[in-house]
Amino acid sequence: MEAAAGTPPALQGQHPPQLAEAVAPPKVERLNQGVQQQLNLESVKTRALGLYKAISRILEDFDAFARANSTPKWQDALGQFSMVSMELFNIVEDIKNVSKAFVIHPRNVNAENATILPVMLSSKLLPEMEAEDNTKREQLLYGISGLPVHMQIEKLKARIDMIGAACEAAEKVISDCRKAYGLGSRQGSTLVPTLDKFQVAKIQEQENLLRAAVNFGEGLRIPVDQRQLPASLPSHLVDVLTVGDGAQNFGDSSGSYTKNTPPFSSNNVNTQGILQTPGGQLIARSVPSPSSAASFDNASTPPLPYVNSPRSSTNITNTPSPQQQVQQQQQQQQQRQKMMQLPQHPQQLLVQQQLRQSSTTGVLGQGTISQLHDLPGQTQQKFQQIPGQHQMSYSQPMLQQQFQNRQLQAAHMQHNMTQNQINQVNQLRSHLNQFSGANSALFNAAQTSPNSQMITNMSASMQSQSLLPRMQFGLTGGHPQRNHPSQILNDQMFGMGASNPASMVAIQQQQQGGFGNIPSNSQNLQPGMVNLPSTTQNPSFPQQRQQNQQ
Amino acid sequence: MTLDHISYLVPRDRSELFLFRNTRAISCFELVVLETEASEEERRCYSKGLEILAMPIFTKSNRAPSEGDGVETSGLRMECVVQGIIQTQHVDALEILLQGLCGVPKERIRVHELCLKSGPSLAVPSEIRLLCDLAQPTPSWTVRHVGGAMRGAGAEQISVLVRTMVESKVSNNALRFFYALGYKLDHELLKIGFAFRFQRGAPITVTVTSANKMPKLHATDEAVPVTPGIQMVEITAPTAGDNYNEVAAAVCSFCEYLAPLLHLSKPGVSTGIVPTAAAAAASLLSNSGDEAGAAPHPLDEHDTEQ
Repeated sequence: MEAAAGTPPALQGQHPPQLAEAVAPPKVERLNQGVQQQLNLESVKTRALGLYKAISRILEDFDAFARANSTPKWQDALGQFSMVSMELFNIVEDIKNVSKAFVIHPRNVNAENATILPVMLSSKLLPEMEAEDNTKREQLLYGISGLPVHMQIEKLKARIDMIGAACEAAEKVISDCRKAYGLGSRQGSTLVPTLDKFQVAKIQEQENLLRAAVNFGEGLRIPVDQRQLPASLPSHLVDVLTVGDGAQNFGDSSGSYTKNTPPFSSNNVNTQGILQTPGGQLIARSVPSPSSAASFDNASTPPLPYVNSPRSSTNITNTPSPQQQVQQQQQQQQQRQKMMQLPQHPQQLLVQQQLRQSSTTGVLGQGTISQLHDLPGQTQQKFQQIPGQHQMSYSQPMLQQQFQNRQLQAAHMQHNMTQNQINQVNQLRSHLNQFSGANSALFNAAQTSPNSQMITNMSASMQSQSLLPRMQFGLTGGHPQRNHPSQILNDQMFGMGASNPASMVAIQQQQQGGFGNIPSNSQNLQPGMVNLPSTTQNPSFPQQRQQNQQ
Repeated sequence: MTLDHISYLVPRDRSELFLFRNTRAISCFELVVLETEASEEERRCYSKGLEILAMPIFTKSNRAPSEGDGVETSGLRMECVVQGIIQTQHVDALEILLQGLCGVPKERIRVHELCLKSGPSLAVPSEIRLLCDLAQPTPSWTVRHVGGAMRGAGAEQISVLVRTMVESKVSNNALRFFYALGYKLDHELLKIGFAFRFQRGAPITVTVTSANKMPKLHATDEAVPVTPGIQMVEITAPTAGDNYNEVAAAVCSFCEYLAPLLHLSKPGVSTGIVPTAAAAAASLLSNSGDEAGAAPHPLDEHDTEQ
């Protein structure tokens, strides 16, 4: 048993007469009086015996249970175990205080090593080793074993000195002979044995190459003229770099964008040049849309009609921009294939530039408001055919127009600002959502209901249509309290990270228990990933996250 | 928080204006899309809304250190790193040694690393690396921003390099996203090797890789090693701004175990190879463990003339 193994060493201290040395005159080794008192060996022995009995009793009980094939009462058994272990702990603690002077006791005793431990702990040599030891000692003290001890020591010292002198003389002779015969010194191996200077230099050069390549990219840069995408990309880059479908661009610029080569500046210049003309035409209201629309529609849809064409079916007034937006999104969703249609940016930007210029250049009177009202409609229809991510950029000119209109009409600034905020939230969320179908519902909800209600609606609809990664984490399942736009945004930001499960879990755990949990997760992370710090920590929400912990 | 800290990244002819946060120690991936061509009033109004939007993102990264809940710059956004080289013939021995020291199975590494540098539109040049892990059946992308190293007397005394580093998993359209932001491909690298991740005072990652270059753009199948005879060993451990001393000490003590095979130093400081490497590798690889006697050993007192 555990305790029994610990006590024999202690008990030996109490029976010294049985351990009398053979060589030295019999001297009883007793423990220091104080240590003996402190240790109180008697009580330790009693306690150890009591513990032994308790453990054997428990074992008997279990034995009986096993034989009777009945399940023991686990609670009682656990109670007994805890009592036993506490008792053992106390005994060991008491011994430990004094045992440092003379005892080592095993810490990790289990069934395997309980039997072998006493053998391992004993310092008595094996019989053969002991015999060998004795013979060697006899040889050593052959002539002097009868003398008193100090003389024995002196004689042994003299012997050692003689041997030392002989060794030195021998070494001297050897080194003299080496020099005489030209064999070199014995310490030549301190140099790098197999590398000469040339090899060292070569390795140094290679090392510099490697370090520069890994850290700074030296020697890895391909000149710009040789940077053409190969015909066959590796599989992980195939769908990253090619822009296959959805070429709803301007005629000329589409070619330059589908290539997607790193230097982009040239492409910008192209599209800028192309964009000037449609934008310029946009200002003058009388210019019909089809002429400019034809230049950037694809073949499948007819040219964009006029403002009043039945195709648009929107009212060109100030307020129903939500309807316009909804219309846009519905049509866009039908048509969009891929995200990140780069060609869209310059188009819209310039058009919007023109819009703003037109709106700000002396359009302050009431008479021109109608013109402002029409412009959104024009731009909206113009861009109906263009798919992709730019719902926000559509809505932005609308908002801008509305904003300016309201300013002109001295509307409530506060409402505008919150409207803008919420719209920004919408836009950003839509942007980050990668333009899933949630946007239409969101915009509907956003535009048709008041602020607070809108937010809760958004959160509700967000949950139902959340990103797949978010659903995987279960972060938003049934969460009615997510009514802070920043938090929704935060979720989106993490969702945007596109399946960052480990970091999310890490963040949740981080909220719970600090860094203690993180290292245990580090083994489970995919390679290349680092535990990210949480950047979302709105302190009022940790509880919610805890509820959703996976 | 004001918008003064944010620098415009994208030239003005883009349709969306990305407000891009690019300060010293902060991740460069927090961004907000704003309206284009905002005039002063609009910018003021939008900035109000932006403050509410951006508060959770930006606030936590650059507040004063007085905030106590430990989620700001003292988050795990730095790393301790040392690098060393080893001859390719000794890599197997190193693997055996690491296997014994770490006690975890090794992970294969096959990473296509694309280094993107920001375009001229950004006032502060920035460099990010996109890592595509090709070892898994489905490639996973990670974006990584390595910042400047810590400077000062304290930094010179510790033998590891402490620098800001932020990593994040991204979706596979990250490359196009960064191209859209104006980043350009500077160079690419294919790293093939293995890694061990374990815990020894700090979460430590040891990677042994051969750096391969691609003669043609993105041709990962035709990659050839930059230096065939030498591979790179890198030991990194994530750390926060306040506990880097302990992490550095943990890394240093682990490096001691590797002393027979290689020397490790701060990136950029060259070390050369270790003279005992051959003997140590031979002893690690052999079963009897005594074939090292054949190679000259500096501590050997017996006569070994070769």
